[in-house]
Amino acid sequence: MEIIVKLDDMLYARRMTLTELAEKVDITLANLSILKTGKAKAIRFSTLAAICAALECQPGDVLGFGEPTE
Amino acid sequence: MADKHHLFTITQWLLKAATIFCAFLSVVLGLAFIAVVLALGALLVAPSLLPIFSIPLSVEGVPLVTILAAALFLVAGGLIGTVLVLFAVRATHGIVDTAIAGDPFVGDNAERLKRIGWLLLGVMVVQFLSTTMVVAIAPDNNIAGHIEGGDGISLTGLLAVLLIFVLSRIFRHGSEMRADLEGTV
Repeated sequence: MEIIVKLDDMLYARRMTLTELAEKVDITLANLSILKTGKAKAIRFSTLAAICAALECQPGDVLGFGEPTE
Repeated sequence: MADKHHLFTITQWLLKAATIFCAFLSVVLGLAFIAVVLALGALLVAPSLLPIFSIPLSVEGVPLVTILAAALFLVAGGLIGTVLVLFAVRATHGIVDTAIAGDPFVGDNAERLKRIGWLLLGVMVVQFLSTTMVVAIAPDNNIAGHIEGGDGISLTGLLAVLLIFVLSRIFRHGSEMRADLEGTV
C-alpha cells in the first residue's frame, strides 16, 4: 500500500494536457512528470494547492492510498 | 555568492600549491630514505670500508649507527606523514571542487571528510611514533636536542580531528536531506 498519484485521471476528466497544467501551476514539466509517474518522494502543500486550483478539485481527487496499479 | 566563489577559488589555488609542495617533499624524503637505508646497510654489512672513504665512525661522540638509525625513523616518519597529508589535500581539493560546482552536499564529501579525519589522525600518530623512536634511540645527545619525545599528539590536533569526524556525520545527514529535497515537487 502506498500513496498513488491520480493526476492522469484528473487531467483526462478536465481535458487538459500535462503541458497546459505545467503552464497554469508554474511548475516545470519535468517536475510534473515526476509527480505523474509516481516517482516523487514528497509534494509541497503549495504545489498541491496550485494543482487543485488549476484542476478545480480536492487533494483527494489527485492523491489516493492503495496498491499501485502497475 | 561571488564572495564565496572567491574563497573557494583561493582555496583551490592554495591546495594546488600544497599538492605540488607535498609531492616534491615526498620525492625528496623518498630519496633521503633510500640514502639512509643504503648508508645504514653499508655500515652494518661492511664497516671496514668506512676508513677507506675517510668516514668517521662517530660524530661529536655519537656513533654513526645511532645517527643513521635516528635519521631513518625521522625520514620514514616525515615521508609517511607527507604522503598522508598529500592524500588529505587531494580529498580537500575534491570537496572544494564540488563546492565550486554548486553542490557540496553529496555523500562523496561525507566520505572525503571522514578520510581526511583518519589521515590527519594518522599524521599525528606517525609523528608521535617517529619522534618517540628517535628519542629512544638517541636520548642523551644532539640528535634529539630539537625533538621532544611524543611530539605530534596535541589537544588542538585531536580536537580538529574530532571536529572533522562530526562534520562528516553532519555532511552525511545534509546529503540525505538534499537527496530527499531532490524528490520533492
